[in-house]
Amino acid sequence: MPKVKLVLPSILACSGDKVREIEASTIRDVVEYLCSLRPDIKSRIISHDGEINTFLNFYVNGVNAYFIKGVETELKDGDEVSVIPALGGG
Amino acid sequence: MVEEFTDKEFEMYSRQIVLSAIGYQGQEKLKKGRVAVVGVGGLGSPVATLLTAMGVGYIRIIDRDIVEVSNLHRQHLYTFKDVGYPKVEVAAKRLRELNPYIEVEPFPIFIDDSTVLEAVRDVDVVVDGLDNFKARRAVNKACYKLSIPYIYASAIETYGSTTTIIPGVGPCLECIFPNVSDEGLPTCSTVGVHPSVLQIISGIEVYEVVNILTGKSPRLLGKLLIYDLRELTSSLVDVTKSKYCSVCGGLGVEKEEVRYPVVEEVCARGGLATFMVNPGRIIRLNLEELLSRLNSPKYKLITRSQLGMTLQIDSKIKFSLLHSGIAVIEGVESGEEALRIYRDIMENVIKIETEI
Ligand SMILES: [Zn+2]
Repeated sequence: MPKVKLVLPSILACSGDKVREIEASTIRDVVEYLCSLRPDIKSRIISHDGEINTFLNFYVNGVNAYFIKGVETELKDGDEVSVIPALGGG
Repeated sequence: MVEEFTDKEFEMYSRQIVLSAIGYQGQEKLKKGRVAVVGVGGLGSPVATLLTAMGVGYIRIIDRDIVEVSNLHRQHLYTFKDVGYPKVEVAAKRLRELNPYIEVEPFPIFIDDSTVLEAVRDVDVVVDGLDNFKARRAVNKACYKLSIPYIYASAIETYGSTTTIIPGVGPCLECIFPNVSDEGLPTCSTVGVHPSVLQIISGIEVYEVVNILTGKSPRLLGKLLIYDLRELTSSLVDVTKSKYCSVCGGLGVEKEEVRYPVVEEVCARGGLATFMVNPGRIIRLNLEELLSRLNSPKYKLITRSQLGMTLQIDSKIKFSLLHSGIAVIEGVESGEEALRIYRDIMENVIKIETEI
């Protein structure tokens, strides 16, 4: 599996490293990784119908995966994936 | 036309006039400036207060809420005696007291697609003080349409984020957070918000408004700032304009990259699956004309209102169509079937291209 650089916001990383290397072939693998990292908020990451919640955005080398192939967006060695949550409230 | 500053105004703004980042000319530009603050809650209260005190000549405040006791810890335009009164009414009074040399106009309205164009018309900048994405997406669309810079911001718990959107130049909100829904998003009433993070984010929003009004380059164009109060860190993420954006993407250029119309299952009513088809743009249908073309016995009109109509198709399917081109289809087996029916009606009856 390709090794990619994952950049997490502190809201998701908690006290852990914000930048880490993980193995992922698609964004779906990144989502699975996030769920294993934060089982406490799994229900906020994946909604009841199995879809990724719309507030989570995955930027692959600066481009939102939503505009590539969504969760099926393929990753290759050295790609940088930034997780950007849309914050509600104000 | 702007008249000279009075002695009082000159004195009031003196520390900005000597400030190289604003100066006398900058102050004159602020006085000519027209700003709409959408939402005067947690972010909008400090934003409106700062803009007023700094001497922005015209400030429109838009909110439909009533002051509640739970607002007072962070929304300092309001006090205990204001509880129960419309926020914009109280805020306008306070802001006029703070600076009698500017104009404050209250708009007690609900922001949605039907009101937003009116709400943000004739201003130089729109500043975000909203608390939900539905309204923000409406504001983003309107600002794109009217070519008005929009300072997006939100804040929750100890986190805040903000960016500056210049229509046609950088990404719009839909490019950055495509299709985001408020469902599943925590709100200030469920997880809380630290008043300090509101002060920081609103301060940055105002900084960007001043940059735009005084003709300087905004610092957050194409950059999303995410601030974390607990760690006192901020990150700047590069955000880019997408040609596939449903708001600013210039749709219909590449046929093979079609994403719209999008069909999604919304809920099940009485055991029947319900799907919504989103055309990905506002179509503005002429419902009168459409009705005159629906003369096949296959379609039976059930209800008709100003903004939409519902048809019965082949006795088991209910097809509701809004004049914006959005359809809600009940009683079909799958999303594919819903889309097939949508396309059939749009392309064969209404004669509108659905693929964009
Ligand atoms: Zn856009």
